Amino acid sequence: MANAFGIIFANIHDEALPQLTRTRTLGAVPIGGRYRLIDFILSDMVNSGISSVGVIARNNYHSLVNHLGSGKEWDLSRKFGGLTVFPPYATSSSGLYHNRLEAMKSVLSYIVRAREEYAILADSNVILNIDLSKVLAYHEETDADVTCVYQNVDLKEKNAKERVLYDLDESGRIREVRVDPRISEGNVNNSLGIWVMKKDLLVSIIDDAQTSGKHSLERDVLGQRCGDWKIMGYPFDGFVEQIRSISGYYRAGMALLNADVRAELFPRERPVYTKVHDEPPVYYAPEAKTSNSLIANGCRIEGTVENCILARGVSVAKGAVVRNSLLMQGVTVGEGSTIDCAIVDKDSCISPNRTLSGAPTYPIVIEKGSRV
Amino acid sequence: MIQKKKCIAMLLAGGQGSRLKVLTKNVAKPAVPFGAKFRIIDFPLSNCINSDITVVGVLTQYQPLVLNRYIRTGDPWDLDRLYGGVYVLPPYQQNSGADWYKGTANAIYQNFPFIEQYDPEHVLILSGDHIYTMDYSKMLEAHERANADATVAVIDVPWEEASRFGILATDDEGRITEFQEKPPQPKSNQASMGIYIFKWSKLKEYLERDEEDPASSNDFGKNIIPAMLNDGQNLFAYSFHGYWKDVGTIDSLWEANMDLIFHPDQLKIDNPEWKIYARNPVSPPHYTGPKASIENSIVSEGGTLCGRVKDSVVSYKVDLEEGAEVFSSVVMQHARIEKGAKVYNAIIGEGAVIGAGAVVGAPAESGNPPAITVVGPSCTVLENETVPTGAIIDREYGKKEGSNNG
Repeated sequence: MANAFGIIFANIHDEALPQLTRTRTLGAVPIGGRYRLIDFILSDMVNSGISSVGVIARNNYHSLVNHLGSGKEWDLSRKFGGLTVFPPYATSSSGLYHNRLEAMKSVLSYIVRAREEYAILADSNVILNIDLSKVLAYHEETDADVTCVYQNVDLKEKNAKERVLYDLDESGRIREVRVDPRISEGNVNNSLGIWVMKKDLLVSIIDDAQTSGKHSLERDVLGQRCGDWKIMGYPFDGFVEQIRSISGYYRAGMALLNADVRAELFPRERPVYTKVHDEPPVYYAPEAKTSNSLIANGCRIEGTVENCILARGVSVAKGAVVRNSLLMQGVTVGEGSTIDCAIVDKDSCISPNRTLSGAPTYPIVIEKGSRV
Repeated sequence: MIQKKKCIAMLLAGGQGSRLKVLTKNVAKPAVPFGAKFRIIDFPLSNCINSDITVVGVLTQYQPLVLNRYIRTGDPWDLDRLYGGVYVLPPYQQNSGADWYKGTANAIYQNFPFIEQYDPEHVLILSGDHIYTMDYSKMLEAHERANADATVAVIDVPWEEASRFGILATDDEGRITEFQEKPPQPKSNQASMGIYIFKWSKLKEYLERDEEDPASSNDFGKNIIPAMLNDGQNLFAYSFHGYWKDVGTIDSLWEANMDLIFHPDQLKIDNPEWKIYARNPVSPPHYTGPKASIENSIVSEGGTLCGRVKDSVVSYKVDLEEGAEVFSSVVMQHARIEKGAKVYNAIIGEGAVIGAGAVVGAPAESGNPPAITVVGPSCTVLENETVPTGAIIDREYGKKEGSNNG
C-alpha cells in the first residue's frame, strides 16, 4: 500500500479538444474502444497501491460522474479513502477555478484530512501505464521536495507547442522550468503532468498561491522555486501520449493498433480498469471483412472495417466501408457509406450511401449525436 | 433484520454434469462457459434480476470454488443488496450431524433457515442446466391468479422426444392431472422445465414429510410433485413459449452455441430490455490482424485474432495466430490456437492450447451431423498433432494418454 493519495485534474486541457469536450470533461473523452482518458492515470494510481483518489471536475462533468460512479470498478469503493469526485465548488468571491492551484484550493479540506504522507497530482490528458510506486520510491531516495515525471523527446517528431519543459542537471535535479517555449528542434525533457510531493508542502503551496497571487503550478511555483527546493525529474521512457489537439487525439487512438503499444499499455499485471457495460459479443456477418482493427463488444459488423477502432455498440451495415477511423459508442454506419480518416463521436448516425473523408493529419470530426 | 420478500429463488447448482465430461472436471456445470462471454448460470441469474427477484440462494456442493469466485458479491447481476441478494449455499454441519445434499428437495430442506429469513409467500425453484430467457414474474402472476399450491413451467417438446422428459398431463384449465417421469408412452408433449413456484407453506410441509420417508430419493420430480398430486393439491402448469435448451451434453452445448449464430432470433443475447449479465475481466476490445478473416461468428473482447474464424463462437482473451483456422467451433476464454492449426466442429476448453500445425477434428461430411471433438480446459494439443473427430482430450501438457470417443 502506497503512503500517498492521488489528485486528478479532470478538466485541465479541455480546450485541446473543443469538439469532443462540449458535453464532457477531457477526462471523460472516449479512447481505445472502451476506455475514457481518465482510466489510464486512475488505473495507474490504483495499480501502484494508491487507495484514495480525489478527482476535481469543473464543468460538463455528468459523463465523468456517470463513468466513475462509486469507483467500484477501480476497486476504489472503500470505507476509508476510495474515490471522491469533486464537482465545482465556487463561492461568491472565488468563482470557478481556472488552474490547478485554484482547483486544489477548493478541495483543501480533503487534502488536509488525507491520512497519507504524500500527494501525487496528475492531469487526465495522458495515456500511459506507469508504476507510480517507483516514482514515489525515487522521490524518497533522492530526498526531493518535489518530483516531476518527464519524458525525453525529440522535437523533430513532436512540436513544443503548449509544452512544459524541464532542464535538468547531471544529478537529475530540475534547474529550470520552461513553459511553452519557442523552440522547434533538439531533445527536450517534456513534463507529463505528474507530480509528487509531501502533503504538507502541497498545503503550503496552495495557501501561498492564494495570498501571493500565483496561478500556474509549473511556472509560478516549480519554476520559481527550483533554485532553493530540491525538485527532481523522474524519467519515464515507456509509451506515452499526451492529448493536446484533435490530430494528437487521432494519433493516440490509432497508436493502439500497434501490438507493442498495446502490450505496454495493457500488461497483464497492471490492467487498465474501466466501467463495465453488459454488451453482447461482437457479431460478424457472413459478408463481414475486418483487418487491423480493435472492435469492442456490442458491435455488429456486416460491412468492411480496416485500420479502425470501434467502441461498443457500433454497427456497420452491408456494403459500408470504414477505414482509418475512430468510431465511438453507438455509432451507426448506413449501407453503402464510406468513411475514411474520421472521428465519429457517440451515437452519431451516418445515413446510407454517404462519403466522409478526412486526412490522417486533419481527421474530420463528427460531433456527438449528429445525423449525417 | 428480516425484510419480507414475496418470492425468493433457490437455484439448484449442485450437479456435477458428468455428461459434459472433461468440461466439468474442475467446475460445476452452471459455471461452464457459454456464448463467448457468459457462463450457464448467468441465464437464470439474469432472468431473476430482470424478473425483479432479488433474493437468490445458489445450492452447490460440487467443485464450488469457481462458482463462488464467479458469483462473489453478485454485483454483475445487481444482486449485491442490503436486504437479500445472491448467496452461495453449500451443505453445512449442524448439531444433529452433517449431510451432503441428498437430492434436489433435500438441498432446499437443509436451507430452511435461509428461506425463513425472508418470510416469503412463494419460492421459485430453478436449475442451473438450461439456456433460456424467461420472465418469472409472469409465471408468478399466473401462479397467484390460479391460487396454485405449485406451478410447474412446461414447454412443448417434439412427441418423439417426449419420453426423455418429465411429462405433464393437464386439463383445459391447465390443472395438472398426471405427472410421468420419462414415460415410455407419453400422454402429452408438455415437458417439465424443472422450474417450479411453490407456496412456501405447502412446500415446507411436503419437504418435512419427504424427509421422514427413508425410501424417498428427495427429488422434486420424483417425490415432491407426485406426492402433492396424490393429495389433490392445486397444481398448475405454466406454458412457456420460447428458446429453452438443456446444455447438459457435449452435443447440446455445442448446438446451443451454434444457435447464437444461426438462429439469433430464437435466443437473444443482445436484447437491451433483457440483458444477460456476466462477470468478465476488464480487457481492451479484441484485435483483428491484417490477415484476419472473421465470418458469421461472435467474438468477445481481449483477444488477438490473426487467423480465420468461420461459423464459430470465440470467447474473451483468445489468441488465434496467423494461418490458424477455426470452423464451426466453440473456443472458450484464454485459449490459444497457434500458427497454422486447424479446428473443426470442436469445443476448445478454457485456457487450452492447440499447438502449431495441429489438426483438431475434421470437417463434417455433408448431411451428417458432426461428431464434436473436445479439448479440455488447460489441456494442450501438441504441435502438428492430429486429434481425431469425436475424441475428448483430457491431459496435462506433455502426457499422452489414450483419448476415448465421446
